[in-house]
Amino acid sequence: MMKSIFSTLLIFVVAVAFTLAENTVFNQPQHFPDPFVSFDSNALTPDKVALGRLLFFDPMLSLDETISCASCHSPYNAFAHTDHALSHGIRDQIGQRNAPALFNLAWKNTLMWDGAANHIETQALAPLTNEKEMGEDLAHVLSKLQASSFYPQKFLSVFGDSIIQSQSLLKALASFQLSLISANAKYDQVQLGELEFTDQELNGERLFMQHCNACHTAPLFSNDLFKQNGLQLDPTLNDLGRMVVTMDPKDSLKFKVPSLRNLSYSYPYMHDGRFNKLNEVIAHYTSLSRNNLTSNELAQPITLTENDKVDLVAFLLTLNDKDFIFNQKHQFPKELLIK
Amino acid sequence: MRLFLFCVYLSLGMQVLSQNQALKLEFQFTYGDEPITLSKKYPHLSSADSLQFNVIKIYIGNFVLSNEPAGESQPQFFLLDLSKPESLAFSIESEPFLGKIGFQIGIDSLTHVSGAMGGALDPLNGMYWTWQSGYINIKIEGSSSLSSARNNEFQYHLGGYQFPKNAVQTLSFETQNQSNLIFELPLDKLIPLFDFGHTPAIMSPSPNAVELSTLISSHLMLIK
Repeated sequence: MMKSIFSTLLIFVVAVAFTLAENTVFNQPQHFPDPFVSFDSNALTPDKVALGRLLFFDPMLSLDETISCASCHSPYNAFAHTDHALSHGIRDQIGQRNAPALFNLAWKNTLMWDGAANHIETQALAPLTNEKEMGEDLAHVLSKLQASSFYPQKFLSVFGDSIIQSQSLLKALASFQLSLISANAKYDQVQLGELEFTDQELNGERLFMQHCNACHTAPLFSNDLFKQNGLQLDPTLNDLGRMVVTMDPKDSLKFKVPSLRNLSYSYPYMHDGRFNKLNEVIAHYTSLSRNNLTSNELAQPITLTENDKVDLVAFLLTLNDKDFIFNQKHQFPKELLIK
Repeated sequence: MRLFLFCVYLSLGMQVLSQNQALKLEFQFTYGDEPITLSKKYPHLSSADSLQFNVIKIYIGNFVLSNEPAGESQPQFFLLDLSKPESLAFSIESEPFLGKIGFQIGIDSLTHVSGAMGGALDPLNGMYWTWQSGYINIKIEGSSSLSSARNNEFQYHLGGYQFPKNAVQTLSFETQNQSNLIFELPLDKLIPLFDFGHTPAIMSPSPNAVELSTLISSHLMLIK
């Protein structure tokens, strides 16, 4: 009797485990550390990711229905905004910062250039309500979604409730963004033993490990910390970075270290998009004027020969992940055209 | 035999559950011993002028009903909103407790970093900063001619969950009453301590926010 109860239980547990495994679209790259984000309260299910994708690409989320999340976070730009130093929101208003690329967000503790957002689920409230970005009010967005003939049914099937709650909206948006994993660049294939670096890339990797990896730490190519990298204040923006959040003068001009994956797709560079080319970025670091707040990792001058610079860029280009950029699951969902 | 033991265990469990009772809590915001009405004019006690309140909203939760210092808290929050009188009284589940009730004013750091929330913690309630992650623990808005701000408004949005700007307040009260507790926040005692001239607004986590949160919490009284 006990045996049969036990085996029934075992079958049940195994069945549940399989269902859960099938229902997650989070694939942990084997050469990545464990993610920072917990999926306990928001399992990454395919239907939630699909709903999040619809919302991410839907301009209905902005006040005048002209700007979607994807307007400034385009899949072909590694979810950044190529050609725009500073992104623009509704009514052609120009924002304060360069739209950061979006991928591997499950490994981030804080979000945005100044770390103002502490969780991917609540981060979306910032661009949604910023008057220069989407200019909306959360209650108004929910009422628009509720009034559509399209979304209540979608939310019903994913969250079991056709009354659209802000929590569901935010969790769906977060799910799509958490599904954006870039882990199949040449660099990754070399780590997995599938490809080899050229001699030039190897020398670039050596230089990278020597000069850059302390902050742009592999394999995510960011240590997720805030650093002052020697950029001078742009007086037209007066952006003090992390200090805006902490109000601690020691955080003046500190910004989140960005990942260096997919650089070919996500220019221009830096928090204000002031550099268009990688050569300009390297020139910045090799001719840095330091002050007492400049990150310790940059205490030693970086000296590179012209050949070294070419090799370093060759290595950085191995971080481009074409599979990620052209992944059909990341593109504009055609379903939006017929909704 | 095992089935019998299981039944005994289950019935004991039911008895323990049935001993749980609801503890009713009420919160009153008063001015000169009268419950405050929003938008009504009140005399400012340190001047000949009047003042009015437009918004009073306070998060309260993480109740601990125990004499043990490390008693387990109930991870639940309530939003007291003077514009919704029904929000000012609610019940929490309580086992017979030993004469002490503890709770927090404001949202703790763990809840703060746990993602999108619903119910009392829904950002729709207007108690969540969007430019920076974080709940507003206490929101008091109104107007006074002593305010140096536009339209003589004062706006205190008090929050912050990270050291050293953690504005969450932990309070504890002794009581023998185990069925219906009434707390009072006498704003007539507090208002003379607010500096409307120098600081008519606090809108972000800051030492001022911590100081004012502490001041407000220290005036909350258990009156029954």
